[in-house]
Amino acid sequence: MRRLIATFAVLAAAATLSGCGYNNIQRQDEDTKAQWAEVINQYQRRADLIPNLVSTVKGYAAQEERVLTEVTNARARVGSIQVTPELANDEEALKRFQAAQGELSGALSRLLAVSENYPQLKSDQNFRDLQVQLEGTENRVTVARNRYIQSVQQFNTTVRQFPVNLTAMMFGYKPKANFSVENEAAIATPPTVDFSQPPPKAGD
Amino acid sequence: MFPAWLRVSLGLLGFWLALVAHAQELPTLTSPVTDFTDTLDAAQQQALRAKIRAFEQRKGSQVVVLVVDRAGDAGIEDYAVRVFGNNAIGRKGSDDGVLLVVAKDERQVRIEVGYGLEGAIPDALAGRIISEFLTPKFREGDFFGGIDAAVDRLIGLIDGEQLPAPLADTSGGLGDFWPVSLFIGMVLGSVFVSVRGKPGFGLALLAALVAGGMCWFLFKMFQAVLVSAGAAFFMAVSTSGGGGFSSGRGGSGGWSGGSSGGNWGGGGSSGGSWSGGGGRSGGGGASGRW
Repeated sequence: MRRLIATFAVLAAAATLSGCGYNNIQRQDEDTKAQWAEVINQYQRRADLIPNLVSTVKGYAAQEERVLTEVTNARARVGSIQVTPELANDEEALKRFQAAQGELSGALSRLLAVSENYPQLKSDQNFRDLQVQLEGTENRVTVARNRYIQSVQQFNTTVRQFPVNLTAMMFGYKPKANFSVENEAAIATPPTVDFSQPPPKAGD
Repeated sequence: MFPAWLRVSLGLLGFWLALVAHAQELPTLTSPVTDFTDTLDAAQQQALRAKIRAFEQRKGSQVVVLVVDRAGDAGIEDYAVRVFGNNAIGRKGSDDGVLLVVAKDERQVRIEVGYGLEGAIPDALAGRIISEFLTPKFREGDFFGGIDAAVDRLIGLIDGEQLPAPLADTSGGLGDFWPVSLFIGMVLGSVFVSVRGKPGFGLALLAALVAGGMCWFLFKMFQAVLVSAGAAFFMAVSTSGGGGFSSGRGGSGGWSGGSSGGNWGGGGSSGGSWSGGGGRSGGGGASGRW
């Protein structure tokens, strides 16, 4: 009877612990790396669309120099960050990367807002295609980020739960950094809508 | 009559079954054309379905049309990518699925393109399909016309793409979990018996449970659990202490033989039913409003 209980206990332990979770850690670590590569891929895709966008807008709205330069500079700043797989593990570097991408997003939205004042630009098929591509890329970035966040959550949970955290500590696996909400204070305050001022005239 | 451990074991088994049958909140599509708003009448749905099915037989790629009232507060992009992922539209490996979602009350439409078709249907072309075929017709109220024209255009675009040839129906196919789960079941069955020294019904059930549990963790497939549980039961009941393959009790052996055999195959490709093929999407495509 005791032998039976002992055997049963061993088998149950083997089935549930399955190698003390080491294999799970490996699998989920690889998964986060793959998802991170996808995130970088989509950000890169967005950055590649920008020169085309800038030159199309210049064709119709060359006087909007300030906004165009802003976008070009933001893209250059993003391009200057060395993006490596290890970036995902360094929390400070990840914050800087996120901030740079956020600046580029802001500059892009200002450029698109300005282009609303140029009806010829808005009806240009090329510009419309670029807008669709930009929206599609932003959506891909969102999907890739969501999947990365979920992947990191799964990894962090595995690494922090008992008893797998013992294995993780033994082999040096720490919880990974995750994307944070950028500028939480700004998002917390609701936007004010002011109709008192007339809209800016085109060409200002 | 039933001892305590048996009731506990059966209770656990029931718990597993409940987990497996847990309902989803997103629609599970059973047809390439699904309309929850009664916008398209039966004849129109049938015509679309026939066209899409013929295309799937010919090319292998899956085109799916879904008409709902609302896509939810998270937006139609989020809804489309979740429905796409839930139903795994397109074939595994080639990821050649396309989902057309119309959220009628919100006046939004989206074409979600799988990874494999992003070359044939880039975002710009998906946007053009929406602005040239869908939104003008939808503004007039001609939903069937718009969807039909869009499906034609999508089929035309996918036709130009090199994709793996569609396979013939593989009903009755056995997955590759069979040998491993069978092996686990048999090993556990004989181990339990060799520990105890003689076969017994209770022991066999215990062996079956442990084997089933291990196979659930390994494969997350209900068929694997049943196969290994059946094999463990069979081995435990028919093996004597020496570990040989003697038939022991003929009656129980016959019953176990019946349960561990049987047809688990026939996946999703039998007869009139339809299901996604395991494809994935990454958020590509385009949205539009009318």
